[in-house]
Amino acid sequence: MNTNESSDEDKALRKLLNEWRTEASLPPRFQDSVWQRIERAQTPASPSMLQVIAHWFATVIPRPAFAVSYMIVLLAGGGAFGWEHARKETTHIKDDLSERYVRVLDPYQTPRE
Amino acid sequence: MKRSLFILVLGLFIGAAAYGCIYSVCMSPARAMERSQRPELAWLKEEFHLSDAEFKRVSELHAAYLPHCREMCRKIDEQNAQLQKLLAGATNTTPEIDAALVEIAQLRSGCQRMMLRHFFEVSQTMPPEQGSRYLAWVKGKVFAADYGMNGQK
Repeated sequence: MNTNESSDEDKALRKLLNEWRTEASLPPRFQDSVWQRIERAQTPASPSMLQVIAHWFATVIPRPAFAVSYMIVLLAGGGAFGWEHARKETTHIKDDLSERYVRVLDPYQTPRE
Repeated sequence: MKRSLFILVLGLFIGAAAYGCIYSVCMSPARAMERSQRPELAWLKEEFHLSDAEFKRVSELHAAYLPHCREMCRKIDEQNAQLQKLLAGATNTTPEIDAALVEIAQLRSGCQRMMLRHFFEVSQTMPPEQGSRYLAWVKGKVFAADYGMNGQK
């Protein structure tokens, strides 16, 4: 289709539309409701919690400052937990050994075979 | 997304590795004590900060004491068995039961004397401050007010 043909069709369509008349009346507040629909379509929908998390996951975690802080916190937390666990276990072992020392020396506490 | 996941997993791995390293390093002295030939003596050495020479002397005293302790154990078991035999079916005290009870009491005081002598010897092997601490601790353990009331303390 070339430009002349297209222009001819436009003219014909324009003429037809100018001749077209309708008796039907618009519903009340037609324009208002059209604008409201346009506004609703333009307002972005609020994101779901999952989307927020996914966005955070994809954008915040890879930030160097966050990644380094996260690893330092886990490093310190893991170390502190390991230290605390070892401290408790060592205390328990020492208590056992001290009791054992007394049992070995005291004939009234020595376990019989 | 993949990068985020990698960072999360790496962080968890670092946390677990830190836990494992610190735990095993802090536990190694206690584990070494448990693995030693005489764990209770290894504990004594560590608890009362004994030098190698002091520890050697304490170990010698300990080794010399044990045969006496075993002999006492044997006598206690013998006397307990004897008393049980006398008590079986008894409805009243008899001169034999009285005598067995006296012997048991004498045996107990003999045991306590023997232990106390050993504790004093051990404490004198230690530096004075540690020796006092050792005596206070062991007296509390062996000569506490409820001694023998619950079988074990």
